[in-house]
Amino acid sequence: MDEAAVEVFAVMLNLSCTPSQTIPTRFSPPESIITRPYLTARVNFQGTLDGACTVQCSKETAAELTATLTGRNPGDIPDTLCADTAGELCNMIAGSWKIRQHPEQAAYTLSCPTVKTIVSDAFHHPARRFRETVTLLYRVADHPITVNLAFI
Amino acid sequence: MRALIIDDSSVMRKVVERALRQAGIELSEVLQAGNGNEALEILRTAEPVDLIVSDINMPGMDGLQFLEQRRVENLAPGVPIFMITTEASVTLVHRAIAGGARGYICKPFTPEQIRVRIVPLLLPSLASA
Repeated sequence: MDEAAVEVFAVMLNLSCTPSQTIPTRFSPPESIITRPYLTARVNFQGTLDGACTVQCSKETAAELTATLTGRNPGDIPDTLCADTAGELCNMIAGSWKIRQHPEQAAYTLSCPTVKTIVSDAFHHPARRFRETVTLLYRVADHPITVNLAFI
Repeated sequence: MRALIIDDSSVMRKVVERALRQAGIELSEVLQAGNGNEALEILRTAEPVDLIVSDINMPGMDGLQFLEQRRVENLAPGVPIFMITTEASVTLVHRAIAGGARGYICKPFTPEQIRVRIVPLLLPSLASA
């Protein structure tokens, strides 16, 4: 997953991404790391492995990343584009990770990304719905971003 | 040159457009579609395009279905179609090529990859432009 995440941020955004730090998912939800409101983008995968990849970052971070991708001013980025960026990053990280895991991924499909904006204190994390999860914390240009892998 | 970019992500459509321009492809107009259905409607009604760049995994009509329907309706015959996707399985790539795509690039990608892979497909068009 580290290689996949680092590749996506380096290639698409030309941003350095510090090596990941694993955080205990069940006891350290993103609320403790990422300021609200934050975006949580999710791509489900089915095939040899079934589960979901989730990327979480603050709206500010998403706006900065969107600005880098599109060349627009961060202050002019609407919420819809922030969500779009989070979803596409999740999509690329999941795809890049998938390729590294299974050379024969023909029967291995990714869903289209879904994105939610989390504004309340309600605990929202895919870990609760899956048996095995790992959450990795990255710092991309000083912005905290978590990537969660959850397996059924 | 007129290009049609098909991706459900508006950010990715902008990223692809920037990458095409950075690759030295002069775009006079860029048409955008969020899925295959929108793209087909553009091809049916708009002025002809010179290049089509499409994602595969999209809600509604996906990129492979778009290729098939485009062929059935004989829309934009001869126009180079390039797939940019996270879905890089051999099966999907073969289906895309069989459906009429000239090539593909996996996300994430760099403008240099766009230049190396797409510009050669456009050489006849660029020469006659």
